[in-house]
Amino acid sequence: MANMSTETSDGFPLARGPRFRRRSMVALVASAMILAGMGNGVAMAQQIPADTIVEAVPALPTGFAYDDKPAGYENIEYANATAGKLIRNPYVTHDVMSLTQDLTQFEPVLAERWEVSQDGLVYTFHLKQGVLSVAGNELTADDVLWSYERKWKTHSVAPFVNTPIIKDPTTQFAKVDKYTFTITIDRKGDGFTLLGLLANITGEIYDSTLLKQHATPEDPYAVAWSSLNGNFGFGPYTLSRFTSGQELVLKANPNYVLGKPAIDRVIQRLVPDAGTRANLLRNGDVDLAVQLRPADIADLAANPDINTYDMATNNYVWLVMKTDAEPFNDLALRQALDFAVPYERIVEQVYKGHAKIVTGLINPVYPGASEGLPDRIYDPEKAKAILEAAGYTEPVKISIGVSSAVPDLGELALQIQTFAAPAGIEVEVNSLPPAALQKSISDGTFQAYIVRDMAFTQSPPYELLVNLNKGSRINRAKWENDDYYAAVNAGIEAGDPLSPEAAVHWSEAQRLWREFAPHITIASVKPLMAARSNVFGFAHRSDNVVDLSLLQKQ
Amino acid sequence: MALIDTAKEASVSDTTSVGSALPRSQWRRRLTLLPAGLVLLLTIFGPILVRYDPTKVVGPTSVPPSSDFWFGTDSAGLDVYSQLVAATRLDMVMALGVVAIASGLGIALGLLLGMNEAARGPLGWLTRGLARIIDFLQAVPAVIFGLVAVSFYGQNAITLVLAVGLALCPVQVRLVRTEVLRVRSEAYLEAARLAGLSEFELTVRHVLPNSCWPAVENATVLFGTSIIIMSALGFMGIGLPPPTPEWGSMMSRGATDAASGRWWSAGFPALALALAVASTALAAATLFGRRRA
Repeated sequence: MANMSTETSDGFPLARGPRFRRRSMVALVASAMILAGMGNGVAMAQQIPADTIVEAVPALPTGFAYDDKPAGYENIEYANATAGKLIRNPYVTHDVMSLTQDLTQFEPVLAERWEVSQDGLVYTFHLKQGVLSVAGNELTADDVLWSYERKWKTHSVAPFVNTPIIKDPTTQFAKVDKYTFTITIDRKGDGFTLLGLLANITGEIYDSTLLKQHATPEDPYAVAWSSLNGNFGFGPYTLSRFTSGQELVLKANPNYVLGKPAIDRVIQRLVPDAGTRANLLRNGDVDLAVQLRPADIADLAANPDINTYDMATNNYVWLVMKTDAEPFNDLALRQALDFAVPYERIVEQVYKGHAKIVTGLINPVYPGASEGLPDRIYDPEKAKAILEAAGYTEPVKISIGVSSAVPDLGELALQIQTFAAPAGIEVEVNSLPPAALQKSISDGTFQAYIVRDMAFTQSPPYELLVNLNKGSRINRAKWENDDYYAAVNAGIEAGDPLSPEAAVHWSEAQRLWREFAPHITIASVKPLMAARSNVFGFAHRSDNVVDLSLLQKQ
Repeated sequence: MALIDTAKEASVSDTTSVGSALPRSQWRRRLTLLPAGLVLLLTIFGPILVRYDPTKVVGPTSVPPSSDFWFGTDSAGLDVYSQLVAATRLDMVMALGVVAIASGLGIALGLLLGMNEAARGPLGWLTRGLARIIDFLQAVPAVIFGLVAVSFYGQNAITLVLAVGLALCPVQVRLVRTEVLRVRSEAYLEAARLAGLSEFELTVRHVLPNSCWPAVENATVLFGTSIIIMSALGFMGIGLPPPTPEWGSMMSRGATDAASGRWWSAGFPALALALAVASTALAAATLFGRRRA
């Protein structure tokens, strides 16, 4: 028999056969893997410069003009970074590593100061002089009036957000001189809300000189141009580079009215997966990661190289029920469901303690806001008793929609599904792609849905009305109660919304809201962002985006 | 001579040790059926093997594998082991449904096309038109079929099975059609016609048995493919609604956790999926390999 390993039958040495080729292939693959691993290690070893922040984001802006593309965390963060506002809520220390907003006060940004008329209806703003835009044009009252004209004359969401405080800028805004203008409101009690609107998203002031240069007959306010070009404001950063699908780079504006930010460059890197964002932060490949999952926040909190933030927020988880259609047109069912939600379990298990149960609509920082409101309690026996008293003899079937793009809401819905069953409520969870869920909400074909949402403008009457205004298209619950509106109006008529007199009416409005339960506010979620421990100046904002201009790095 | 000697040595070495009458090759063949047998057992007895209700929150969220939760819990607090076992039955039954639809319809259409494509007149036109439609359908990815079906008819098992079955049907059609084209020119068919059989009887009694075997063998491949496709739909969030236990949905929910080191809620369903597909392929290779031998 031939020696099969090295020679032919005639004794000639065999050409290097299959066994050699196999060994070579294995060696090649192993070498490639080792090299790949080394390459990865080399990349990880590169330090991020001290004047640069790398931020892992789930998405990049879909456009650079909020008037054109108003949806999404990333669009709001971009607008906040590149466009200045007249005023803002001042930042106060929360702890050694972080700040939060004082939602009862306002401080100047582009405006130097403002006065209020005796009757409380006319606000006179004096702009800072010599403030230059990115294009080098000086800020004037014309920019303010033109900016608001653009918001009302285009498809911007600003009119929707600012109603009923600012209804028509052409009549409410008036120029006094080059650096002075006035805003007139209908009721004294709307003044605090006005300031809140000016301090938040849709309050951006644009370089009208630059935008007018790019206006066309078809686009007289240069909305399309600004959405593509991005540098038309007075903000702390300018757009330096944008690579679609990869990253966006912001450069500090040396002419920013409050001084050049400490961080010269911000790189927003697109990382769609939340777990990967957390890993990059853990490994030091990024300085800051946003929109993380609660479970990852809990893991990162135990890491000494990472800071997480525990301040209460206005990022509420809402269960919205459609009250003008079955089955939630039945008040008893809504009230029963209020007792069938396992609030504490949701805070502990879904949010890993990184949330707080919410009893009211108004931010608890406002005095007297939540006084007299009952606690949120899970009591399936009580829920069952309510249903039985209402004549229910069989388990009630309900459907709750959630966005498949927000995992914690799906997990929350499953908790409700399990723990509402003993109360006699059978929950079907409809996990839908965001567009499909939004369509069902817009079309009004939903029964109930769960969402994480917030009122950017923090002001008691605004928070009470933003989702419940009569005839408003975002009154998804379709709940309109005259006593409720009367209570809110009484609070506004009281003048100062932070006064004890107004607080009485806010409490009454919230009592009615709890009684009729068009919504169930389940929890307020603490910030779902984290940063490396050498990053300072994180500030929580009512719009839940990062104020990049405050960040510093050791 | 050396080759014959080698063959004798091989046949001798294939016998098992003293005490067993089965040749080693037969034992090997039975072993290859073991994984498929395990999957079959889980499919049949799954509901009595689960430890907890697979659709209810039964424990803390994201617990790693432990004595209480053998495969851990997922981010919603559902027991991964119970979900996985329950998903086995669902995914297997749905795959069976897909194969039945794809093969049943595929064989019928394949016979129709093969026997009538060359015919003249309206029947030939219709058949050729149908063939072009099937060609077009084959170009559409099965996942798109599923997506469109779910958007119109909702996320339920029947919609998914029908959609994926229709998507995979063209493959079977082509296989049967090719065989029919070969078989229909056989002499015994002409003899059957002369004996007085109608075209329908001819097709059913003679052509069908002699042309459907490739589709039957391919059905095992389709079985594995359909499991993967339906898991893909579940992974994309357009499969069955939560918390219906299904491997793809489980992997989708667990994928982000896996990226953060909490591997069990996506890892175990991925293993189960791989085992199911591999065991089916292995069993098919064994069974159909014996048939050819």
